[in-house]
Amino acid sequence: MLGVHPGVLVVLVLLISAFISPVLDQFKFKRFSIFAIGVSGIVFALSIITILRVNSLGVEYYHFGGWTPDKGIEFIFGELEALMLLLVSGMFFVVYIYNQKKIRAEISKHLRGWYFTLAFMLQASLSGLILTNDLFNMFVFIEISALTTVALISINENRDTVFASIKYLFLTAVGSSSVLFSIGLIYLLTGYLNMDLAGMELIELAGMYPAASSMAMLFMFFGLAMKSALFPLHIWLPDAYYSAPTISTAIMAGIVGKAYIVVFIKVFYKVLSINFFEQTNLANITVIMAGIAIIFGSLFAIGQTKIKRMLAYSSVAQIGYIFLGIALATESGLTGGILHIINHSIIKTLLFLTVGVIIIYTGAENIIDFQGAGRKYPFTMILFSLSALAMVGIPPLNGFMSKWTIAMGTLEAEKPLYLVIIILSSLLNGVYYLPIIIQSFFGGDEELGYNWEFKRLGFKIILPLITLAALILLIGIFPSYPINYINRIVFSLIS
Amino acid sequence: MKFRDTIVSIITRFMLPFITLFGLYLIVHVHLSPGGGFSGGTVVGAGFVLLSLTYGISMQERKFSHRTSTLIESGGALIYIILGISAFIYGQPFLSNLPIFPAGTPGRLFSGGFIALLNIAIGVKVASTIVALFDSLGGEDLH
Amino acid sequence: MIDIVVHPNIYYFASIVLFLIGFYILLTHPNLIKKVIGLNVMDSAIFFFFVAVGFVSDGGSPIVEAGSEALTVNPVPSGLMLTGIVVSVSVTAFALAIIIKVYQHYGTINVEEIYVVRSEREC
Repeated sequence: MLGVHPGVLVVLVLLISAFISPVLDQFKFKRFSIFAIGVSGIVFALSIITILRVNSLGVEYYHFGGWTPDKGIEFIFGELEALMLLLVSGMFFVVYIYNQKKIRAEISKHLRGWYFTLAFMLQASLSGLILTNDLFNMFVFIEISALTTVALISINENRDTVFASIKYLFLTAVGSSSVLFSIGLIYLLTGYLNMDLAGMELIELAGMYPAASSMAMLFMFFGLAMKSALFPLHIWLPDAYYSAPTISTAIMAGIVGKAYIVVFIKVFYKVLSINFFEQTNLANITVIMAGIAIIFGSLFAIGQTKIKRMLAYSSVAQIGYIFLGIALATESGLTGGILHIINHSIIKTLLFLTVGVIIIYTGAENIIDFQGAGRKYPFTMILFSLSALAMVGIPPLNGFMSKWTIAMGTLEAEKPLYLVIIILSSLLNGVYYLPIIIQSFFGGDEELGYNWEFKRLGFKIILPLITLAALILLIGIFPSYPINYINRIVFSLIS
Repeated sequence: MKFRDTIVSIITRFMLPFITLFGLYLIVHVHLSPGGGFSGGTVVGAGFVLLSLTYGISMQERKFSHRTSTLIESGGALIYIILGISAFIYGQPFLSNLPIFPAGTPGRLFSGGFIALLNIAIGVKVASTIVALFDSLGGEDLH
Repeated sequence: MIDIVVHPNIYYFASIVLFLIGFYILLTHPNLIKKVIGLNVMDSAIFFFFVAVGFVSDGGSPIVEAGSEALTVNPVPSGLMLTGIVVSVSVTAFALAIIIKVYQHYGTINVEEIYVVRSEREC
């Protein structure tokens, strides 16, 4: 079977499962959770095979239908794509294992089959989005992921989800239309839809047609920034993260946002690199926007009363860090940015999963209700504290490594103002995370002892939390393995 | 929408076979003229919606029930993927057309490999989607 | 007959103007359904743009007879836009379904009134 590549099988397996799920739902299938764990486990194994294969064989291309790249669609299996595919598959696998008992009960019973259909479609489109090397194929996957994300938010119908989902739908549709317009302009200029070929053509054409290629870059930037929630286009993010059920929020925060940032890196380093970095000033403007996002995200987070909104604004700030690293375009900057994509995905997912346990099991929604939660659920709050400290950037944890590398990038690019901004915002991060940690362990009623919750939650909820926490510690203590791998990616992108 | 208008019901009864036939023509002649699975499927779906508008939702339930439409939707997509996977057996990448399926002479109906088969699957899926959309957005409450 | 000479890029200008009109409708009208209409106008502008990209002047329709080498219009962008139209229809259908739910929960589909209802609930 020579035409089979494990990466393509990832997308195919997910699509087949997505289309089988409604049929199973019609036949009153009950065990969707186990089906989801099985499918995502297979996909995770396939993505591990992919990354091992890329490590040994190098970059590979897969041409659909046997057509050559100038006419057909191709998938590229490079280092960046394999790494991000592993991240997406791993995160979905972890979230599906976490989806047990009371947490699963947040979604009403008759909608559960459709929830997993949507989640499989979302994972298929995100995997395809990361792997594709064709611009219009990328647009189709962007649209599929946008629609399924909105559906995942609005799966429970109440006032908040309905409002958040209509807002998100309009803004993301505007972003997609913008991206499509830009793809049309790139096709008009170069005649190719393949990213590599269009990039090579644009290197000469950007000088000949500066207005048209700058317009293409601007529309693409607007669309992708709207979807990645870069300040000031982050409006949809707090409402969407706050009102969605716990698993949907974990999926959105940890995975969906990161896939769009990977698309941003691929398009702006391969296709539009001349326009973005040399011809116009957009790279500097992105750096400024990222700096504002870092400060204002943390400032907005301090004043929040509900915990999920606070975590959402914290996400806005962290996305600012990632864009700062990407737009600086130095070696350390881009390394730090890509490393922070991975780190933030793990940390934010762990934060939302632990907060989800406390929200569902105790009904606490406001930050004030977290007083004493550390004594009722000590293990969960210990993991919350670990991930909060990683987010602030305390040394032996992974957040410190990525922030340090981005800071090195700002010095390499000779913009020391952003080093000050990074340090200042780390302090601001501490301002809103540390009180929760302290209040949860030492606040509230004084007489209760520590009530370890392993029996109450069960093995299947504890296991994903431990895995993510272990990853936080491992990447923090042994950062050389991921950083060496990412250096190879950066070398191929920047040269 | 229970009242029956004489003119509308007579004309619907007359037009419906032609609408469906035109939709099927659009679907199958995808490689010979403009059209294809999407537009042809929409026309066929619109025919079913016309049936529902004229005679009420119960008639359409009889012809094309909710369970059937769910199975056909998934079935259409799965047939598409299976046709693409069939290329794996010959060692070709996904969705390979010409080395495997017979090409025929250009301009005739049986040519172009499996493009017509793919579009039949797409057309079936789109038609059932249009019917399902109309059901959930505008039809009477079934549950 | 008066020969009116138009700029050769007139289709691109028209599509950009239409895009901006649709965007303006989406941004300014407070009624949610009018915002959906604005979104549709934006998408139609993009379809128009793509089809104009494929246009070859003095080209015939892209139906190829066996063995003839006539100059034809590029059919690839039109084919891409079939997918784009389907995506636009899906987004419109989904938006309208959510707007029905918004009306059931808030009693209005005017964005400004929805904000008033939400802020009253917070107090």
